Amino acid sequence: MGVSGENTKQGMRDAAFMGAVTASITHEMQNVLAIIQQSAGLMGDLLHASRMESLKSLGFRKGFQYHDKFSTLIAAIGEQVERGSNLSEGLNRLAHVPDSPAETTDLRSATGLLFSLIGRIARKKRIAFVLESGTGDRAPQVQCPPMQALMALYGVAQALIEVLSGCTVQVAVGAAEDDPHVDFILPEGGAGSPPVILPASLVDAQGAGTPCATSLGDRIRLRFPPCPAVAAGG
Amino acid sequence: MERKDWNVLLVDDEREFVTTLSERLGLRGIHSRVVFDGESALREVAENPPHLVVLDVMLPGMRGLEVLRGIKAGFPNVKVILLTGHGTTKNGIEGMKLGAFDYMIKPLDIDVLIEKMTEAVGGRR
Amino acid sequence: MRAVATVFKTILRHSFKDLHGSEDILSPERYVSLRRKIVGLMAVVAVVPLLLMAAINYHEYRAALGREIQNPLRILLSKTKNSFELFLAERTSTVSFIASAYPFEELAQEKNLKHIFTVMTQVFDGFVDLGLIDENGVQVSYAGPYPLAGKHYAEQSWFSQVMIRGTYISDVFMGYRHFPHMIIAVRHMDESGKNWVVRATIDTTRFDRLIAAMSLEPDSDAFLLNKEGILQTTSNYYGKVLERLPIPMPTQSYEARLVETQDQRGEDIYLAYSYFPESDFVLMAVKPRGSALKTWYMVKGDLLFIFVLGVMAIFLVVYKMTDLLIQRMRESEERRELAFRQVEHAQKLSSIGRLAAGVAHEINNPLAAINEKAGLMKDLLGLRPDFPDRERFITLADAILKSIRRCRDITHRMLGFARRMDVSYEELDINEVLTDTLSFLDQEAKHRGVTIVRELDESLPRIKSDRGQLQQVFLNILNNALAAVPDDGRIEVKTGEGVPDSLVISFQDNGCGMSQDTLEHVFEPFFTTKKGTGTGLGLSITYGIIKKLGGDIAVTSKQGDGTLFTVYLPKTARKEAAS
Repeated sequence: MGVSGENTKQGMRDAAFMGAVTASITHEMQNVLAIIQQSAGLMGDLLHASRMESLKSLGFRKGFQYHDKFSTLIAAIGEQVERGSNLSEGLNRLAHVPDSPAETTDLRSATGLLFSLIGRIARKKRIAFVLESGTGDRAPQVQCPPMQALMALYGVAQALIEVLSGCTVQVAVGAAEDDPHVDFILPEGGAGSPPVILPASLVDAQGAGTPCATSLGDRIRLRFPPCPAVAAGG
Repeated sequence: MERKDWNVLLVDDEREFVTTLSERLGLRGIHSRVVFDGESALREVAENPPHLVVLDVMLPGMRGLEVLRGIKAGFPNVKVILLTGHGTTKNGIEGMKLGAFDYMIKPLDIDVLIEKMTEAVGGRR
Repeated sequence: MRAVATVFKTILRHSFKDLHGSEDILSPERYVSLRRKIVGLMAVVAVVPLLLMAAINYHEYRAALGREIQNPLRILLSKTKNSFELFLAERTSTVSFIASAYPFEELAQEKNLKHIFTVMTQVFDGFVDLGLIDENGVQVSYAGPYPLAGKHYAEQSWFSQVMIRGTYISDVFMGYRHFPHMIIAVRHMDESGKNWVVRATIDTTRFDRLIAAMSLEPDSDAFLLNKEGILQTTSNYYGKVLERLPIPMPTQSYEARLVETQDQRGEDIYLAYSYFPESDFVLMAVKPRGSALKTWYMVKGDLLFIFVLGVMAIFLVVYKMTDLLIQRMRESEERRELAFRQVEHAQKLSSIGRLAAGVAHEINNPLAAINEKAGLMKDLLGLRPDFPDRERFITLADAILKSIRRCRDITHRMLGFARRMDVSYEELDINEVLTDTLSFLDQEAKHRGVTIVRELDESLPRIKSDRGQLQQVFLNILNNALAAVPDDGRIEVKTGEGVPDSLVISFQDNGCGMSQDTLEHVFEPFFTTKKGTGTGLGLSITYGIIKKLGGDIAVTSKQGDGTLFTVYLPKTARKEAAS
């Protein structure tokens, strides 16, 4: 326990460093996106002002020929900035995950974060991960550092992206029966797909607090066994 | 060959990107058709073989490199310029091995793109 | 011999199967059991020959010592036996001479006989009396202290024996003289066929003197016996004259012989004896073994002491050696385990990096779209030179385009950091690369209150090198420095030109520094200080990259004072590196 604890700690420290770098990058990215947004916004304002002036001049001054075109373009830029911003923000959240001293993870928010990040990568394979809205009860907390939980989720998602295509994967977070878990429910039509090869580190995972993935036929279940004695530190 | 006679096909699932690019090329006298996925691209190429295909490597469904392979199998004379959002040169180099003319990393400079297009259509490579 | 070797091999294999068994790291319990086995085996291997040698030595030495005691005893015995034989032979021949030198008639006259007896006792001591006996057993004449003339001996067994055998030597007996004596009788026959016997009595106290001449040690004993085991002389420990020896008679031997046996008291003794060929006597000498082996016991004590000391030394050495061996093994096991952990860890890290990098590049897609939109706007503006706000719009569109480029640079930088790119050489401004890299760490440094001082030589020439790789190198070194300095610490980054034809980039921190030992291994793969903050791979990768780029890296450090990393980069890339 001591050795792996030290190891985990070391890993966390490196991940934290990595996170610090990523955070600094995304921070810069946000700034640049803000510049773009402001520039586009200003263009929109100018366009609007020029339109107003043209109206005021009652036709003496000719309206800008590409007014509508520009409006569309500026709106599109706004949308794309929004999209980039979302990604950057997700990345920023990811970057800050290793900072978190928490020993527990909110499974639903971790799952949400992951799919906001890899959604497009999945879409490239025409896979849609649909996170089922919770049944209303409080979100299951698992006794596992957020980074580890996230990496485990990522591991399963990647394995699915690897073999599936053109389908929808329902993702359900639950705490039924025994342990908190995340189910990746395979589509019925996906039966013909090649078998999902899960990362060995997740399949062979043993011991308290280590996420463990198993194939249950129609779904892949990532279980988070509660650990009675959480490794100190972190 | 004059620019206006070029027959260009743009393939990318980023609609906002590819339609605007097409429009900008149009402003520069380059006519281009646009498709949003690999299957349509292959169909389009078969129906009306273009001089040049600008192809995104990361396409939904059929991967960009598969599309490239398909084009090169049926129409070896069609030049292909690859676009990649991922800054790795890996995909690009792989694509070059499959017969792509060149590759570019997104976001791209339209003047550089046109330079490469000119090279591809007029060049001897 | 081969069988022994096989057995040994089996034992070895059996004992050390812990070593080959599994890939698992040895648990402390297994180390203990392994140590026990090694110590046991080595001790057995070392102690058994020693024990064997000691045992052989013990017996050899004991036998040699025994011989040393036995031989003199045997020699003394045979010498004494000779004395006895000589004594008896002299007496017998004297009697025989008297019997043959004088005619019967002369001897029959008591006056003559007494004269002869007087002369005889003057020459030979021990004669008590002398008598002449005719063939009918009647004592004809007698010279001596007892009134024995006319005594009949015809019925006595010795008489018939002497008549048959010619000579007779009796056992010692008390007789009516009441002191131990013996008789020697010789028969003589003259030309006419007339037989007579001359009989002499000898005082056997002479025997005691012969035995005393052996000058034995006080605890030893020597005595004469007859073949029936009746003592002929008084012994110190085994009875008086004519008593029976309490020890069973040994087998007959006319040579001096020595046996180890026990006496009636159960004491271990050396018994030396010799039978007399000419008479019924047996000479015996007894020496208790205890006293004989006194020196031996002393030697045995020394031997035991040395043996115990030797065994103890062997155990000590074996234990120490095993300790060292186990420790070495443990260290190497730990190092191996660490290596595994580091690899595993590096993989984990790269998986985080992959996710981050993959996502980072997704940002390129919206950016590409924005790029085109802004570009299109600029294009359209170019078509409308009459548009009043044209200049401002173009400025804004350019701002957007510039921002896009900046974003692209950021994502590419992220890539360079998150994974190792293919080596690609380009003209670089080292100061810019360094500033760029430092910008990654600004937040962390600010957060911890660490001051990063930049002293960058602005006149540095541009060099051909790999941006991504250099960034990784600088990041690794700076990461180490950040880990080493305390909060509010200080890191100085300097660039400058060095000789010959190189750029020098130095990183000085005021952190905890490194020990000499750490310093020696710092570039080894998987080396990390126990509580280290590095990945263990970082500096070895750094070293590898720098070498690949044709440069060099040096480190000096003083514990408590901080560490100085100096990177040297060639101004002109080496041919093979550049190609």
